[in-house]
Amino acid sequence: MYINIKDISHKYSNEDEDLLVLKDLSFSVEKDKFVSIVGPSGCGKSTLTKLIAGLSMPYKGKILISGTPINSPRKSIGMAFQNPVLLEWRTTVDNICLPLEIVSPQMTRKQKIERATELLEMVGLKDFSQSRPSQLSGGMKQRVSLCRSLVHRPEILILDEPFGALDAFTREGLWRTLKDLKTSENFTCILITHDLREAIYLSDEVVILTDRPGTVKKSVKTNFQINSNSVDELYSKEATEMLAFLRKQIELSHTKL
Amino acid sequence: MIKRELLQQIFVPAFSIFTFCIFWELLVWANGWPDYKMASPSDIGPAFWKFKTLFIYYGWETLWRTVVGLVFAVIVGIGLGIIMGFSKILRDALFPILVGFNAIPKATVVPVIALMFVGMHDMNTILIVIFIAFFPITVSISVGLSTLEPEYEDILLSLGASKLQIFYKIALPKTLPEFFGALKVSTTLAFIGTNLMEIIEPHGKGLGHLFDSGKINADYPLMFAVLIALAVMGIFLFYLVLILERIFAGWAERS
Ligand SMILES: Nc1ncnc2c1ncn2[C@@H]1O[C@H](COP(=O)(O)OP(=O)(O)OP(=O)(O)O)[C@@H](O)[C@H]1O
Ligand SMILES: [Mg+2]
Repeated sequence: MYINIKDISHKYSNEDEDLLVLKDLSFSVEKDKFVSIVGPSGCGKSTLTKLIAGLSMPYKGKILISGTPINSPRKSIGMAFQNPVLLEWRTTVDNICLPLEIVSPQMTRKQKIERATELLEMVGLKDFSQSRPSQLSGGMKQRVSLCRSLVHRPEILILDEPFGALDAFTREGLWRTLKDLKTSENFTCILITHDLREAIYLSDEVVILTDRPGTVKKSVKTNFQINSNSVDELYSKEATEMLAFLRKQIELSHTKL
Repeated sequence: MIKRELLQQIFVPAFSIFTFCIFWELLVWANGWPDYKMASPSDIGPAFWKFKTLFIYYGWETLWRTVVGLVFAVIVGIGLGIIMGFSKILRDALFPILVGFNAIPKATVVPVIALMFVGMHDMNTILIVIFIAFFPITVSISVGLSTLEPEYEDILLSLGASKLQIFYKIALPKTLPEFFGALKVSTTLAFIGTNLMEIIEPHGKGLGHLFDSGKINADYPLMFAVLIALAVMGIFLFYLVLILERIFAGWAERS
């Protein structure tokens, strides 16, 4: 297993009480697979991404990547969030170069820009390389944010509801872009989402979490592959059945309360 | 097109100042105010001319002390702002002290400082400028740094970036617009600082001294001329800050 999450628990300590957010959570991801994580709001999904990224340590259990436990941030991770957090004072292309400045200071500026432009081309924003973030639409910003998260060729991409704030059509466009990026760049992807269609369309496996404290309720292989780049396949019988099945799993987790 | 804009930028303010002077002159003339009540622009011009060397000499004295004080205020303000922006404990510890300090009317601090450092006029003046001007800068920097969205940090931290890298790649540039906003306020305050010292504890230097001698000699146009000179210098520094802002934080401006 490439990413191996073993029995992790995590809690936040406030002044007077501890809040247990994750409890004995385990799952694993094979290399170059795409896993979606769904679960009720506040169940600890964002917390989980921080743990995988090495930004904080679980208080119990461990996370292994290629067999090594992580205890600090690694350069081989890319992250993107619902909030694209672009730097307003930088052009699009310079925004994308940011991770390279940290991870590969030995690269020349020309090489960095070449790499950033390559990605911009893939997401269809080549013409906007010199624009400021304030001149881009929400969907475009999210595309730039995706490019930034991949520019240093990370082995693992962590996306925390990256398309949550976008309208349905823009979102579908970004799904396709992400699928394209997944085929041309090699990475293992963990996507947090609230959108089951998104999960089915993009991922090989969907992990359903319970309410807080979050733990794996069920893990479902989306055992059919949407190969063509068309979102239409989401409306096939197979996909609709899968959707209904996933929905049911999540509803069950609510009625337990 | 650009030339027209430039002309407009010069012409409009010039015209508004001219109109303001006309209005002022007419007001004084219509009311028949004597000079000691309200000098009119036509008196102030000759006052400037009569004391032109003094204006240049004293104006320079006031200006350099103000600018030096302001530079120190910026250094102190940014330093405190960084400390308070990054450490919640130090923020909680320093904030009440700074607020209290800022609440003391600076006119009462002037004699204290003058006593503490008797005779060191340059330093006294610069100290007062620092005291009066650092606060807005500290607040702007500390608020800017402490309200940085955590995602910004996460993106860099997950790559193994150091705190220092996060500071100069993200936190510092991101607070620049707030910093310049505060610097504009501080610039105006700095002039108040210099003149407080020059007028409350006269040391025979600066425009404050010229103002005082105008008062002693009942030369009212001179007093008004000093006020105008102070305004002009204030405007000059303000626009200087504005130009710096355009250069370093121009990205924050939406067209
Ligand atoms: N830094 C923090 N300090 C204290 N509590 C926190 C912190 N971050 C998150 N929490 C708490 O931990 C719980 C899980 O938060 P988290 O952000 O991981 O949830 P989530 O599953 O991502 O939710 P959503 O789907 O709404 O994004 C929440 O109850 C939240 O209040
Ligand atoms: Mg979240």
